[in-house]
Amino acid sequence: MNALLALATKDIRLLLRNRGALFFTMGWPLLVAVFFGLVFGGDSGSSRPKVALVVQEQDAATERFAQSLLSLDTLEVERVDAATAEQRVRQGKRSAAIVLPVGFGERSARAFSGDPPTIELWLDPSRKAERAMVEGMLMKLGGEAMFASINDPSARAQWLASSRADLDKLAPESRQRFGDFYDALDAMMTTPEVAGTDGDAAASTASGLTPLVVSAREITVAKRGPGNGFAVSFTQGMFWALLGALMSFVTSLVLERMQGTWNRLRSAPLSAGSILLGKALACFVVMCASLLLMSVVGAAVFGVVPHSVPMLLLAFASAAIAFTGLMMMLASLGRSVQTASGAAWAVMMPLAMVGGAMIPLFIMPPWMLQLSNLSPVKWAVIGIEGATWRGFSFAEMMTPVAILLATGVVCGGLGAWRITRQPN
Amino acid sequence: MIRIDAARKQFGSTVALDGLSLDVRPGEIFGLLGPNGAGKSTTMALLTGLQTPDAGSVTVLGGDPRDPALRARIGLAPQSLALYEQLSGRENLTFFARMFGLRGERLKQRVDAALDFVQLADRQRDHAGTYSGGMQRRLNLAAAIVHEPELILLDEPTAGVDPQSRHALFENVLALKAAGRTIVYTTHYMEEVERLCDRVAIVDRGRVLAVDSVAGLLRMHAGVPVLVVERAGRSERIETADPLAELNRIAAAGPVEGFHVERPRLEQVFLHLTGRSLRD
Repeated sequence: MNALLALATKDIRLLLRNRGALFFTMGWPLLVAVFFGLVFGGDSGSSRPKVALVVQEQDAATERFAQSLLSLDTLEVERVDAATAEQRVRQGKRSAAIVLPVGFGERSARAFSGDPPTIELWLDPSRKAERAMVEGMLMKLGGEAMFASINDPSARAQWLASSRADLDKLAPESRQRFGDFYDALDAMMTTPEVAGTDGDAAASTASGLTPLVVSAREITVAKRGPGNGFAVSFTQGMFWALLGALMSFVTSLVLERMQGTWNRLRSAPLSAGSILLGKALACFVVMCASLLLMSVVGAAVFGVVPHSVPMLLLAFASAAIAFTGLMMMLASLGRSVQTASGAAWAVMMPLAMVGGAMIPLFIMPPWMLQLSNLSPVKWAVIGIEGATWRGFSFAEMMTPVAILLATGVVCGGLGAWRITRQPN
Repeated sequence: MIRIDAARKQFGSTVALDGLSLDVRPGEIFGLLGPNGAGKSTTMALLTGLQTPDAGSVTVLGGDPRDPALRARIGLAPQSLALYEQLSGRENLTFFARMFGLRGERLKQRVDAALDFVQLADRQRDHAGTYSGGMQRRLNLAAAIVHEPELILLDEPTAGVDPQSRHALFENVLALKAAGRTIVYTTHYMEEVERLCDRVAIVDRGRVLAVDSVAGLLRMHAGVPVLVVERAGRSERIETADPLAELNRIAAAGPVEGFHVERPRLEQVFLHLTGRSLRD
């Protein structure tokens, strides 16, 4: 164990002292992620929850309410039809859909009688924070709409008329009481001093009224879309981090053989397997560190927050194991740095191209998606995306994790077998 | 200490060792002298367990050199500078010492001792890549002895170094012998063998052509000394077993303007044994 740790520490120290290799392992992937994140849209500079708005009946009150929603600074509202709204919420592209149903305008015209206006809120049940915020905004708008209509003489006349019309539905004594109340209210609101009262003061005098009711409908999000462009570009950047570490260690392993240190190590009381295990451990640690660095920067600066941190760590570990195995196999393909590097690029580039590290998987044509199953890069990307924005369950994570572990074990074993059989 | 019996090793169509046999005694400096490609490095690889013979047998320190416990008692300074240039001299030695199981205070003591031994203590914090060729060679030697091995294998340890560093390395090798270590020293420099080695094996094309002390090899294979006499404006070369008697005889016959004696060298031994020069 002492020798294994010494081997791994030595390789990590050598990498840290090689500025070029360090840059391509840690710095370059970050630059790639940020650059392509910006190119592909980033997060549009907004942290406002994005919601869809569905208007199911065209009338003046409903339209007024819709316009007040569209003009909000605190929500990014897009007006669409019901089917589109549901689809966007289901895809995770919108936090929620606000539906102004048939009858919303008509109910808004009755302040003190009948049922209050109802708004439907379709949303992903996991988005609790967005739900609270959207509901709060809707209640505020509902209150403002109610008191605006009280202050508007024509609107007031309309809802007093409709309210008086509803008096027939009440018991005689209630009918009398409400009739007197409506008369007093009408007289008060036509008094100039009161008519000039601002909305907030009016609202405070009418506490207890229900301006509207929010009815929630949960929509299961089958597969989330990436929250922003960085969610995609950081996953791709993570591939470059893995590739950078892989190339560094391929070179390092070949250089050990070329420079004679391999023979010196082999002359020590260590098996070839132990020496390779030390190299693999260093490679694994560097890959994990690089992925963690990208993940922290992505979350802290670019809002790429993982869906599940434990699953993200699992994805990182399995991807690092797979790429460490690939490193071992690729290092066995050449006896010189040029040959091994050439072989590594020749193998990794096609795997990256079909694996979703260059073209996002979700925009690939079906035939390419089919082909991508053969690439361990795809499963690394899927695993990381699954833990970041695809919202994978633990069971769903098992497929990429198992494939990556198998890749690591098979490729690593094959590479180690080849290396230990090559002449010194 | 070492016994190689009829070892044969072939790489593809190239025969590296062709029935090579030799014995090395405890406490001696044993030289392997031969041109490039003679099989010296392959012999070293057999002695460290890096290679196994296709035929024949190799016994080192009474056992199989592939045994890890036994390899811990062997130190190898490979022909190539097997060092990490981005690590300091001290970090290199610490790393290799840990590979041989050293830890704690003993690790520190041995690293200090090895640095002192090769006179690199003052440069121990500098990256090995900044060392001169001679200093790197000395560090290469230090890495071979940091774990205090009984048997030290030095494969062309002075390749590409300046005379001053070469002299320092000679002193190091002689000090190791004085400390009771057994050393196998490969080289194609005859003067190194003549200066350092107790016994020498002349190796060519994977076989040992002769083994003896330098004096014994010269006596057996180098022929007689050559007396070079200048008289009457001419230079004469006379092979003779007794140059002084021959010179007296010539001087009695007439005036001698100048003379010198060319003593036999290992070059003649190699020429005699192989029919070609060591440096061909």
